[in-house]
Amino acid sequence: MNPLSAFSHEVRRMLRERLTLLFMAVTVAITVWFCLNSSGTTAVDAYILIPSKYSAFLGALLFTLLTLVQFHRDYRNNTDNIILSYTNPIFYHLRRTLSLIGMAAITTLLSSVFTLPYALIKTGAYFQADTFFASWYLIFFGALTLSILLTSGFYMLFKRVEAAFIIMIGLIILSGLLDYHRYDLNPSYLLFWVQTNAEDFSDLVSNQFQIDTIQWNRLFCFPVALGVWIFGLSSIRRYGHGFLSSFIENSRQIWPPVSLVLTITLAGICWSAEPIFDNSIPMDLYVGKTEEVQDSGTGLFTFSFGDDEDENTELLLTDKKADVTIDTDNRTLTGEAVYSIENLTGEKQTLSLALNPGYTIKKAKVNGQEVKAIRDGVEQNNEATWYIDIPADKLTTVEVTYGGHIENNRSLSQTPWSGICREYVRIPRTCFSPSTNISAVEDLAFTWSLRLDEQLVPEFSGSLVEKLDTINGKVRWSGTENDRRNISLTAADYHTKTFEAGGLTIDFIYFAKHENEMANMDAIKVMKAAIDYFTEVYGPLVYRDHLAMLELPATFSGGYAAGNTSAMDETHFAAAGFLPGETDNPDNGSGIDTIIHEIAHQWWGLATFLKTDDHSYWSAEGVTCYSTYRFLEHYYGQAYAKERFIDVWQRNWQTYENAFYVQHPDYLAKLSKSDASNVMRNLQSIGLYNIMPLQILQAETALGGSEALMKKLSELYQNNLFGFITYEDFLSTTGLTEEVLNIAQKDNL
Amino acid sequence: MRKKTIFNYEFKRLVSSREYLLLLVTLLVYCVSLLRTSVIFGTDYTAPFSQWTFCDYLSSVTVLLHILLLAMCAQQFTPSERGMSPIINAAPMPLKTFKAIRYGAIALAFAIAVILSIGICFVFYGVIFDYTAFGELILTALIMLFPSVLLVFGIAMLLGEKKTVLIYTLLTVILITGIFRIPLPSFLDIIGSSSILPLYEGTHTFTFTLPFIAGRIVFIAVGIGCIGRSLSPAKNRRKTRASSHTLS
Amino acid sequence: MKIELKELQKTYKGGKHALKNVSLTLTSPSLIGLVGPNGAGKSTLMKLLTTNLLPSSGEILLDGIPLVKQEKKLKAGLGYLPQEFGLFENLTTTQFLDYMSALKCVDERGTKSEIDRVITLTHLQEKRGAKIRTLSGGQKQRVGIAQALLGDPRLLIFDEPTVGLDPAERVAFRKLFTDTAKRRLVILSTHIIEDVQSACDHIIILNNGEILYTGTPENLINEKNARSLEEAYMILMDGRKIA
Repeated sequence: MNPLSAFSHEVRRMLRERLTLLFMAVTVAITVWFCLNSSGTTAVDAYILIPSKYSAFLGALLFTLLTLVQFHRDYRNNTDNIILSYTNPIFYHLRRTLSLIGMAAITTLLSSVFTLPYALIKTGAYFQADTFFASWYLIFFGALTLSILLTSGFYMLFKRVEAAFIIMIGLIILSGLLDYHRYDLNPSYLLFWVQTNAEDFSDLVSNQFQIDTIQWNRLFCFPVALGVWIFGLSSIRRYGHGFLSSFIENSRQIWPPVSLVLTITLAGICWSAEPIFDNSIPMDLYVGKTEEVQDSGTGLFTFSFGDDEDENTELLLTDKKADVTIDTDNRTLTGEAVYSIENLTGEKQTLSLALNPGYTIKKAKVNGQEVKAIRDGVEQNNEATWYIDIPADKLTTVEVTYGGHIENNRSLSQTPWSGICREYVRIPRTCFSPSTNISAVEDLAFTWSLRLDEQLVPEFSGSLVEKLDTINGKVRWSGTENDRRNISLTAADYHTKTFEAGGLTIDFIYFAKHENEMANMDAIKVMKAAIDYFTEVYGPLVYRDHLAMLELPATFSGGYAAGNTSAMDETHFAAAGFLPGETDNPDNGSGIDTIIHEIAHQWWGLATFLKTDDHSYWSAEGVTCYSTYRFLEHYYGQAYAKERFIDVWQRNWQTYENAFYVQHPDYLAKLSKSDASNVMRNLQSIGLYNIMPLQILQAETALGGSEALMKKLSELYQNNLFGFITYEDFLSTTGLTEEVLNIAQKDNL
Repeated sequence: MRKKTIFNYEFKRLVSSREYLLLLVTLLVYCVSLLRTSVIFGTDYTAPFSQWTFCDYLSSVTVLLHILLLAMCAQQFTPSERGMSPIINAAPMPLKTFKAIRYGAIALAFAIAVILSIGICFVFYGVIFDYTAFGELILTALIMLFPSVLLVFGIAMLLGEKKTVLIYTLLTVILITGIFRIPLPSFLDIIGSSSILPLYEGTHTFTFTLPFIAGRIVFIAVGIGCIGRSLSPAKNRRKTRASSHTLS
Repeated sequence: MKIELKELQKTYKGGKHALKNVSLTLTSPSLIGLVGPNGAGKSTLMKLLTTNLLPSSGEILLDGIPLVKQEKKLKAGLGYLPQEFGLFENLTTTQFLDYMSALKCVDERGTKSEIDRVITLTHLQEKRGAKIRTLSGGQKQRVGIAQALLGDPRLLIFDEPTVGLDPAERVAFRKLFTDTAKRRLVILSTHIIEDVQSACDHIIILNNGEILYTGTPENLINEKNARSLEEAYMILMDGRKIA
């Protein structure tokens, strides 16, 4: 019988078995059940991604069992001696494995009979074919295939059903546990072999960045699983030998060991050459330093800039230019940057340039002469440092040609927020042009230009830009920065609605797909009211004449405020009836609180920098939370605001007061430094977002009412524009003491 | 009757099996991991050695404990075990006594796993936090574990008499419930995750809810009933299952 | 010992009549061969005698008293080797026999010598410390025979005991059965005629659940004017429609 015929025989045999059909039917039923019973923050999440992930788990479990049943049947029925006398066991098991994968493929196709039309109907205009394919074929079908390969491999290796079963259960649980610990342990996305770590898919823009992680995950997991399978195949006991002798015997046919080496090598290459994340050293997010990243818990990172201790004062940057081109087809950025530098020492110096780790410096010239740029092996904060030698000349011009694929910061998260694709571009500050740590002249003018596809509308955080021309489908933008800091940009098929508020021109930039919904929503009205309100009570935002409210993809899971931009993800604009054609919202309450919160950060956190300390919960978050509460009380009424803010703060404050480590701080000393740090970080979060706002409310009472406090806050704001505000500044402005604001001694408000 | 000899052999066969050892090692590694990554921080900001945290720990560990138990139950119904049944049936020792001895061996092997997983936790408490008041926690452990174990064991032995694959089906159901943390009503909660009440509900005195306790009582009753039923031979007919010849 | 089977019937689920009105008297000491083709009802009869099954109708008397009322007494003096059986693969031969000794309530003080005795009888000396899963098929069969001999039972029932044994071993075991039957009732169920011819002093031929012949091998040969027991058996089988 020729191999193809034998294979089709095996497939037909399997399809005739009731048990196989039962497993397939149950798997399909599970996919239907999850489709009908899942929820998510976006339509794509709720109706495509999450059902596929949950189905992947159960499907992996069921196909593990099916694989064991199929592989063990000969031994269970004692037909192995007969069967294996007539056929080569290696090809026999190969046929069986391929047949099982065939069953998995049929199962996936049968599931698609429901999942595809269901997704089309439920997501409507938000349906994305590549997202659907990635979810059901890469994640779900991928999980089934991987479970078949791994299970059969372990079974052939150990020759024990129980051992293979236990190992597979352990691996499936491990994949689930990684999800559970994704934020505290930050495990590599390559290890999520069942369900991948994809989450929060967008309805409105391409999910290509996350699809990249799914693809690369499968590119890594498949050779690993195949390696296990080949290893198991090579271990099939022959001629009454044990494991080692059988392995050697089977390896006499060259292809098993060669394939094994190839798959292991491929897996190793996929692991080390993984292109989406860099190798940044983990960053300590523990609050307590002056210049640091504060995690708002809604995904907001507030950077407070202090003195740069690493600044090189021996070189002075007098001018910087950069010409950047974004190629959405190749998904790369290339650029040419020119630095004019004054050498203050009269000695040779080394210029350090920080670039995204995915970039390379292709060419470097110093005063027209080509030189070598040497890269440091260490990556930190999503930057790799390159060194170029500078001569002793007083004035030097350094030109660098750089570019590549953007890599995301692995130390922050295993979710790719930045990158380039046809529909969406996000370039963080580390990626636009090389930054340098040398001091700069006060009136430095960093002039840049950018070429970008014309269908993409860019939003430059904090930058004034000019549209120059359009050539060959690419628009040329240009701008000038007044300091050495880089720019960041987000670009997509955006629409913009402009309105006036707070004396500013506000550009509300949202995804084109949201056009109809935005027209029906109250979002613009609320945003206008919030900006007007904060301007009235605190004072105007004076550092720019316009403010951008930017809609982000759901992946951001929160928002940020940077420069003159307040950004929040698309789920914050969801409300009942938001999803097209449906009144049921899969999993959402109103995100209006977060929108206002991000707007308020323009005053507290961006226009002013609230400096944290070691003895209080003073930060931008506390004042922003309070401000949000005040506005929403003004806009929606006291009952609304009390329920959503004061009651929540008080509940969380009670939790904090009763927290074990708060009641017994001596136990913290019994923990290791990192464990204590984690405990304090969790408590810190309650302090920042709940206790501080309550203390500010306390101040309100102490001062005789909200009007009095708002006046003081306004004073604080206007006296400290672009400067640091400490807790002591707040106390001295309000004339209050720490003891007065200590809510532990006061009754609840 | 030399019950002790049979008990020793049954116990030895259980604890020296690869499945038991592998699962025990997995269980202990999992326990250590839980202690280091979850228990140490305390559940809902309570103490690491609070009842809440301990119950959280137990409900996580319970899944693996049940799997270990079901693996041992499944071992009683392998083809070679079924092949032994005509010989065992022909022996003078009453079948009920023989099965009781077997159940005792399973209970001891299981108890070792439970004691180790709870013991590790207590050692952790003692070493890290100098905490030694284990009395209440032991009672909590008994309430959490004993009834559901009795129920699962009883059902497994009844199912195993019919078909071994049914035990694996029960194992899979428990596994899925545990992995996906499928919330069960308190009175049906064999994992025990519903025992932990949210603290912000206002209560700071740990207590099991009434439905939970009622469920535990029902588990004990049903479990004992199932075990009793499995101990008794069939009334009017004895079946010896055809087993594949184990001679190679 | 005297075992009486009175109009014994056994019908399985699905309506298969395994035994139809079987009446027999078996007395010790004797070596009784139970012969018949596959599916004749031999194993069913064995299982009824060992109370692994209960009859659909009829009764079995042990020394005049119904067997179901003295099950314990029967089992106290029973050694049984079923046709299909399993062993505890992860125990050694000695451990397994120790286990079976305990199960058969052999006195603890005499267990070691009893195990040595049966190991010698079944030629398993070299395999006493080997794990059962490492034994060949024939060796496992011998372990099965050994456990049946434990406790020196007064009733031995062997269902196809020589399957898997080589010719020399079969000869040895025939001698063992013969020697054992000098003081006990030994029932040997087999479809190997040579086992019966050389050892048994009484044979019962079963077919389709009915007794075709009961008596000595010599009588059967004479009745059928055959030259051998096998020939007589074949004549009996071919003419089985004749009463």
